[in-house]
Amino acid sequence: MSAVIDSHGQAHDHHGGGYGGIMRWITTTNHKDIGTLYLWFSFIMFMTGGAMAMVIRAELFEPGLQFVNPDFFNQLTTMHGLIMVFGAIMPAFVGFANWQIPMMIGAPDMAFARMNNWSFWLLPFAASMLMLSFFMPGGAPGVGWTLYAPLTVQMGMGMDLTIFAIHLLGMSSIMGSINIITTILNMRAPGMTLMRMPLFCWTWLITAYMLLAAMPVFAGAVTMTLTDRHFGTSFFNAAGGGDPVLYQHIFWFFGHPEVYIIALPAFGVISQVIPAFSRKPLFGYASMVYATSAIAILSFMVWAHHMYTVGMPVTGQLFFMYATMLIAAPTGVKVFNWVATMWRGSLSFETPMLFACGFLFLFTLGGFTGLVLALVPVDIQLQDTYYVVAHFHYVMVAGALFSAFAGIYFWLPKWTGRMYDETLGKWHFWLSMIFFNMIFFVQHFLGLAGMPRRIPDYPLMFETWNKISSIGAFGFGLTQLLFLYIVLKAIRSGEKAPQRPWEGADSIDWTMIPTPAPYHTFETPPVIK
Amino acid sequence: MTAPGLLTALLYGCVLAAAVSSGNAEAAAPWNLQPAASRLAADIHDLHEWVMILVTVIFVGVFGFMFWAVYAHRKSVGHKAAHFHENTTVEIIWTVIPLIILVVIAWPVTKTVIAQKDTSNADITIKVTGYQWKWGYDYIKGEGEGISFISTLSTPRDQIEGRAPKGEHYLLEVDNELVVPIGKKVRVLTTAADVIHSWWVPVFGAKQDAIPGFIRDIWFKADKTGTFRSQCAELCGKDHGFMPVVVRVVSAEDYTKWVAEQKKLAAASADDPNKSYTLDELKARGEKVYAANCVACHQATGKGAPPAFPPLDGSKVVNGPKNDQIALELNGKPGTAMAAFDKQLNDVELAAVITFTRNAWGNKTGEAIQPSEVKALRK
Amino acid sequence: MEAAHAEGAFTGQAHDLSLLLKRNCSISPSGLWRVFVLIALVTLGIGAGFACFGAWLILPFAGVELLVLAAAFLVVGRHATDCERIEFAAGRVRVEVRDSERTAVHEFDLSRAQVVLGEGGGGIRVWLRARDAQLEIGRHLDEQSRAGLATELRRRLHGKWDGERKT
Repeated sequence: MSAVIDSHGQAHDHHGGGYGGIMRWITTTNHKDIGTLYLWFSFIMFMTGGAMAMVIRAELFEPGLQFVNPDFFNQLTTMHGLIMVFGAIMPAFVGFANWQIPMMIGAPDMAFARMNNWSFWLLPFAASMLMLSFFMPGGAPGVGWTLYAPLTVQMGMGMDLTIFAIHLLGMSSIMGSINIITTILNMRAPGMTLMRMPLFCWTWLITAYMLLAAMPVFAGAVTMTLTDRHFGTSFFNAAGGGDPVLYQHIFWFFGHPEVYIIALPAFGVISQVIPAFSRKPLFGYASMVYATSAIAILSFMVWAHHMYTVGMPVTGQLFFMYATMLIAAPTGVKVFNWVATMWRGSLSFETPMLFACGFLFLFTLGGFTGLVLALVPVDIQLQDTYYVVAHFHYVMVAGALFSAFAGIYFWLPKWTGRMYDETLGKWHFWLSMIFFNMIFFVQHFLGLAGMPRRIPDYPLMFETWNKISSIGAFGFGLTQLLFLYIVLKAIRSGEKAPQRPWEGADSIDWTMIPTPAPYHTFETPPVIK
Repeated sequence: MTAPGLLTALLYGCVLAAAVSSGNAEAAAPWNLQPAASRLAADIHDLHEWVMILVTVIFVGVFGFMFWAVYAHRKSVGHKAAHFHENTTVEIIWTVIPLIILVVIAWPVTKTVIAQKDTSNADITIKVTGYQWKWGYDYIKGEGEGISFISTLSTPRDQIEGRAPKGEHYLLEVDNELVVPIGKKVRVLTTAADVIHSWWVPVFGAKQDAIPGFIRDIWFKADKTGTFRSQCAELCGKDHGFMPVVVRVVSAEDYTKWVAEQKKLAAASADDPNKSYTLDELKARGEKVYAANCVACHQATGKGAPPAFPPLDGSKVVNGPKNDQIALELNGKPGTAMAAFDKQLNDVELAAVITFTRNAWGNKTGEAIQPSEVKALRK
Repeated sequence: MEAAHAEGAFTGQAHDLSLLLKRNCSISPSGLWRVFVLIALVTLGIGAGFACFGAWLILPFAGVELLVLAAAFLVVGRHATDCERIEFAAGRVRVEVRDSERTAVHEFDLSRAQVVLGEGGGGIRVWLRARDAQLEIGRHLDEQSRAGLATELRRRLHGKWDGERKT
């Protein structure tokens, strides 16, 4: 006769470090606390980057220079990009990962609780350094978020601060990834096999792998920029035997996977939300896992489709074009699977589902413009125009941001024990949807007609669409204040949430943990039947 | 109201608003690729069009399913959920069909890519150099060989800053347009002097980054006469938005005439670097050179825009030893936006602009820098 | 949940009982090692590739990242197989303790052994104590299961090894 007793064997009593107030948050090693920190940080950054976008759109409301000078305009576009990508979207999904992964796999916490705390607390420092660069002589770098050499060499000290900030962000991402990989691999409850995990965990596992592969490349790229600026190296300087195009190869080797680093967790959230509101299991779970892996691998082989105009040999252009088109296949599989999940379900359209459907519709649109951009000759017309701006905002805003909204409305009851106001949530969705398309749909027209991106002033023929786009932008910005109000209202005075507010939600975070989730969950691992 | 309903209403609203406000929607708010002026651009148009049709069909198909489910499989109309969650046949079909479609798209595209890359057998070769923030054109082979000029934005500052009404070609007009003959294959070599720029003429389907230290090439063959306008397409610093590309396509005869004119002009205005000029001659000439090359950063007032663009009024360099300033203008200042002007300006122009800055605003050195002094310092 | 699982193991047992208390680890150390090799190959491969084109500054960052990853996996892997095996047989209680590489075996005479509860380290701790030796057990369990373990062991010890326990 023998018996096996499992336990995670961890001490939980000092999660908050025994402090109250602000020190609790600074010293916390509890995955739920840290998830909350990530999400609030991300929202603050979202508002900061958003405010910059408002100034950009105000300047572009009509031709001529009205509010900002061209130099400052470039600084704004650069910081808007960096802050939104590294400050808003990525931390939001890391926040979801912190909250949800342990609860979804039956673990008491993340594998390295102390490191988890460090990963988060690097972020506010990095963000402060980014913002501080505005106040340096010469201002923030005005080189675009892609930080192309050799323009970076002309920038002031703000560029160096930005590079250090990127290093901090990279360290945070790497530690976060190590934590997520170890947690998912080692801390699953007995019976929770990899192929039984909620898809959200799968997408994060793959994302964390991608981060580990991509982050050193970015760190190297910005470091070489730094040494070219100050230590006389010539990695990217033709006069010293280097090559400015090498920078682009390095950057996009990181940058393209980065797109999927953002998109995959978004796919994960959608794959939780759609089945829940379709009251039907996710269609093609296994093929979803394979498609996600295929996208991840392919994403490392397509980087140069951002560089069709640098003058590659024709074989290079063709290779990258075919590889890029190939990504359409696994992405298509995902979209088809989501639609098939809804097909013959029993659908209801609460706010999370609305955002998920909005995601599906608009992300696919962004995917199709991606296919158009993959075609070398067409891309040569559209590269560095507003068409590209429209395309990646369909992927980043309608893709990542909408799915983040879906995730927040979906899990808010679990986290806070309170329901958000459904009517206001629906308003938030419809206003976001309308204003989003108002901003970015017309930007396809601008790009086709020939408006380059990153210009503070433009020829007269582009005025109409720019006006519409700017009005949409102001509307979108204001709508997000409504979102803040909805969340605060839910936390303060929302109705008490039932154990399982969404009847189709069947992952163990809903079925095995009380709502709201207590501070400590799964201290002894559940057995998954 | 469903999502597509609202969106359609919204888009119709936008287009309608544009149409009403201008009386001509297409002219006021262009929403498609510019009309092609070369075979290559026309091919790109066709490609874009049929890919869009294909994509629209797929989109309507896939979302037809989704919206049917949204309409018919709602809980509120009492639909009960089915429980299927996989179907290998279906999954294989919808992996394979997109792959087939991709191959169908790839075939014609590949042909265009290869055509686009074929820069052999050109009639005329022109080197395009990107500078912050203007374009330099050198005709290096074929009819017009030897012609060389700089092309700079000619829209007045007053229009940009809203002190004057904006002209028809606001931000799309230059002092010297690139002129090419119709029906001739023009090979364009691009390079840059400082940072990466991108030379782009949409109506020819021609865009090529101009990379400092490297030469890349593209080609175009115009099949329409007219003036075609565009802008730099790669962020290149402060005035990235203010360096247009303007190409005038003319008939073969007109081109020959233009070439002759240019040659005559060049001969007439050839600056003699060995001649001595008076202070006033240099200052007058220098003011023009300053307005074309320096004013964007250092401003008409000479106050600059510190700290990125230092003031010249009262500057230590401008009021210091003249050879230091000459060297700075020739070689630029690495690590800053101060470009090397040795290839952009000739000795007379450099001497003139240096003389001007040393005797303008509060600077009163009273020195006249002669072209020979500049020539002596060239590397 | 887990407590119920342990309880079941104690009831209706024969004279001999073997109890394995281990950490919950869903990946074996060798699996962890394979994951590390996979990541290392990819990351170093990328770094080496770029180094061939002159961008050698990626390699050091890849190296640092792998060091951190290795350290993390070592911390996890070293203790992944930690366990305590408690066996009752032939009048003796035998406790085998595996702590990373080391395995120690402790034996107690069942008639002399007793279970001692104490406070320490922020919770209840459990010792097995004979005349001159004592051993902490249940270190991989959380507090609740540890208390349960103590109760069960006590019941077994006081009921003696030859008697069936009736509750």
